[in-house]
Amino acid sequence: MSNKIGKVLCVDDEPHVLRALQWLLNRNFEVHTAGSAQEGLRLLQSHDFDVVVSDQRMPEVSGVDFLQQVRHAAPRAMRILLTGYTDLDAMVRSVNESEVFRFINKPWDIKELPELIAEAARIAQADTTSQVQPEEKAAAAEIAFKHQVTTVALHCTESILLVDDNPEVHAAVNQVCGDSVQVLHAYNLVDAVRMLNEKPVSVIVSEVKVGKLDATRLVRLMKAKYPETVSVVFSDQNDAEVVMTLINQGQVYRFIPKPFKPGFIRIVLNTALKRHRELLDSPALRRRFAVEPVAENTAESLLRDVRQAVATTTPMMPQPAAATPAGAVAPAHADEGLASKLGASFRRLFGS
Amino acid sequence: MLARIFGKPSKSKEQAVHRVQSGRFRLLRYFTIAGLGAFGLTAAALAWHERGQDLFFSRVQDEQRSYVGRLQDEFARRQDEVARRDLLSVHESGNVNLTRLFANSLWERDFAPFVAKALAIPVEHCRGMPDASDAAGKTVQPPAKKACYAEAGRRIVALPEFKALDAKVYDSMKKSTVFKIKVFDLRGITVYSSEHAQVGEDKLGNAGWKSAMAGKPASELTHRGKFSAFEGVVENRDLISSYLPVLEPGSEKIVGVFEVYSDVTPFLAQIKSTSEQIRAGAARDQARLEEAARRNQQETESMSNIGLLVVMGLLALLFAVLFVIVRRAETLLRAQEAEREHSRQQLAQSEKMASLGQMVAGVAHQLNTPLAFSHNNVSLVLEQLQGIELPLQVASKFADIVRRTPGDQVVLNLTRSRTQIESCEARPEYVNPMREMLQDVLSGIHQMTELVTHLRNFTRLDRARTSEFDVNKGVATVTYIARSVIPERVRVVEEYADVPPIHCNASQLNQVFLNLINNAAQSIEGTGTITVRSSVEHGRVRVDVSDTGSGIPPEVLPKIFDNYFTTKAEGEGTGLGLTIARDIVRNHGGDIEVTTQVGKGSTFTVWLPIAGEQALPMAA
Repeated sequence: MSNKIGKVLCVDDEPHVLRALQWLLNRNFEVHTAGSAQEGLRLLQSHDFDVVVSDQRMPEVSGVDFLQQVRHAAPRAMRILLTGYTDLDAMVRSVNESEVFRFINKPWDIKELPELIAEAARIAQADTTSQVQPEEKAAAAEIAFKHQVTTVALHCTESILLVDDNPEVHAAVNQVCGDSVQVLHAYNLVDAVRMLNEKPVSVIVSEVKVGKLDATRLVRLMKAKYPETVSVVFSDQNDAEVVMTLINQGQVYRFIPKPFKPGFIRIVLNTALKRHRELLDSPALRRRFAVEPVAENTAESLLRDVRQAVATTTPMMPQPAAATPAGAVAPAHADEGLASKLGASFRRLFGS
Repeated sequence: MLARIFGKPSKSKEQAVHRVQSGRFRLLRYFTIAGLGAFGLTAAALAWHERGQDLFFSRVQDEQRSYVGRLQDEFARRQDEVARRDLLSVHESGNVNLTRLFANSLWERDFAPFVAKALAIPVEHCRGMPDASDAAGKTVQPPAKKACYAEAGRRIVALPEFKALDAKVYDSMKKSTVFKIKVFDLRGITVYSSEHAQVGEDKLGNAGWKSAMAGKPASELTHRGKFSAFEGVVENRDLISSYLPVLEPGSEKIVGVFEVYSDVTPFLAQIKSTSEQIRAGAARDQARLEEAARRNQQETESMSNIGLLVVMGLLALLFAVLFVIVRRAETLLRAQEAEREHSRQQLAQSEKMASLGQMVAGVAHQLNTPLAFSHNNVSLVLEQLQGIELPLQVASKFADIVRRTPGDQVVLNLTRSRTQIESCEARPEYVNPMREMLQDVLSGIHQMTELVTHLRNFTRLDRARTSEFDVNKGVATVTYIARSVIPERVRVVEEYADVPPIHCNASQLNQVFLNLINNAAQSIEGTGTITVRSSVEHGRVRVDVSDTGSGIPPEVLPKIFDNYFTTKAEGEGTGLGLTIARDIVRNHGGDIEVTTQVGKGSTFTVWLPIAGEQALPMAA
């Protein structure tokens, strides 16, 4: 038993899959299998698992629902969702409710899956802070929290960066946060990069697409580089691929389909800030939300896109005069200056 | 290619379209028939009316003309009559005066004694002679009687006073219009005549004589071709003969009768010429009237003809305009109909594609699971095979050595191979898991094969369009496929009875069953059950798809088979699924029914005729 590096629970209604996982993981892990969510929950009561791997599509209780229960019943265990079926609704819930560590598509890779589970097991074993909370207590706390808070309360060093090209969203967030919070408003990725460069940001709230550019790259890069950053992403066009990448490479805190209610945003921002503080306090927790290595050249492609956007659409959105001091005098030079500045900002932010 | 999976819009659809067209209201044809008929009737009625008016007008004109003609004739006749009467009475009174004068001057001295003498000459014997009747039945005097009277006349003429008297009469009458004078005695015998031959004639039966004897003069207008007048024989004369009583001067006693012939030829000629003139004038007027009437008639007729032509022209124009409008309308209607049919077909196609897409996604997921564990197992086996290769080499080498060694003992020289042999970690018990893994792969392949078979059965691309079809097999296939699409929370129960084969287009029927099962799944919100059941009832195959879903509200129920009716959100359903399903089932000679209870669920029942029991209406 000494060579087993973790304790894994696999749940699937298909016995062949369970047998296959067992064969695959047996060598390095102590594998337990369950044919249904109920059986899995029973096993959770008698064992302390490092990792729980569940299929999404199961009769009666789905994988997302099961992992949500696992999140409360065994907070230390890392949750991995396995699916052969990109059900967007289930994916969004796997972010917001189950807070899964990874989202794995069938068929899985026999090299990567054991490695991933090994990583998850290491993270779980290192985490000594996550305690089992009685479920009623956790629920009560959450409800009390929701009712108590009317505005977002910030510590003086915290700030929220809102990246969206839609002014209505900025207005809505402003209304929710009031004066007590420092919200940085970025209408494009250039401003977002500049603001991120100026000071650390606690929470990034971003639209998937900002000015037709994929903003999730920025979110993923930030999370990879600064694990204490919490990200909230919303979108009006729900793409399963985007959500999956945001889970695996961005550990996005919440994914919110538009349109949303302002009250909901308030709750999300509060809990996101809370999560940020927890992440600051606990390195173990930071590891729990470790991301897959961001795809190569993500930073390069983002920089290229942003530079191109600057070149073609200057001036972009309303910018404070201070941001482009030379802009009024010599725009061409300003562009070059801005471009080189951007490059420097990127290096500072994401350079190794 | 994908579209073919559900069977392309085939002949049955064309038939359906054709049926719709043949039952369509043929606007242009009906309008043309009805329009031409109505306009023709209108024109005919108008022509008839015009003709009636013409006839009436012509009759009125004829009546007027003949009335005026009669009036003019009557006027001319009266005028003539009055002129003649006036002539007669003027001459009569002239003759009366003449006779008075004559009597006064001649009677007392000359005629009275002469008449007295003449009276003495007997004529009774002549009167006693019988009369005869001529061919016309008229009483005439026979020649003997005439001769008797003539004899008496000769005796009178022979009287000595006769010559002087005659001369006196002749003297007084010459150069007057009086042509002849006769004197009769009271017996009616002519005692004097300026035409001597007539003396002695009997005038007893003469109406004029009788009237004169009664004291009343009688006159008569006569025309004589030849007449013996005082101054010789005259020809072609109009004469007035007056019988006038001769009164004894100083008394009212009639003593004799005069007959005076006076010539009125010029007067009468004048009267006649006046009458002629009037008649001629009347005839002229009449002719003018007729000419005018004819002209009026012509004008009226030509006017009514023109009017008729104009009205008919206008009617024709109206018809032409309406025809153009109606034809345009029909063209538009047809275009719209074609467009509707086209968009319906497109929607039907997209409906098919949607359910196809859903099915493909489900099938992909279904394939994913066996694919995943098979991939996993094969990869693991491949990995483990590497660990077995070396032990196998060692074992085969050892077997070689054993084969070469005759004795029971083998001596191995391990100087070169010890490390290699020691590194063999594989154990015989490794083989068993590998076998199990590969067995699982086999079962995974079996699952995938099953899926592919079902897919093939579902699409039936490799079969004839219509064939003998085991409904149970078909429904089972569809259920298998549908299971991959519908959520896990929905249980599907299959209950099949023995059902005879039916003749049908399996691909189309599969589409129907898939649609019904998908609908059933969508009606179930949480957990629920779909029951698929087959049976034979009333000589037909019955397939029920029941669900424990929400049921269909009564206000929705009548519309569920309608084109484009859907309860799904916009963009999710075309509203053609059930319409197409019903079309397919009906084309198979079957029918589709629904029973539902809100909150409890619905059952869709498909009835299909058993093969051979009826001719198949569709060829597709």
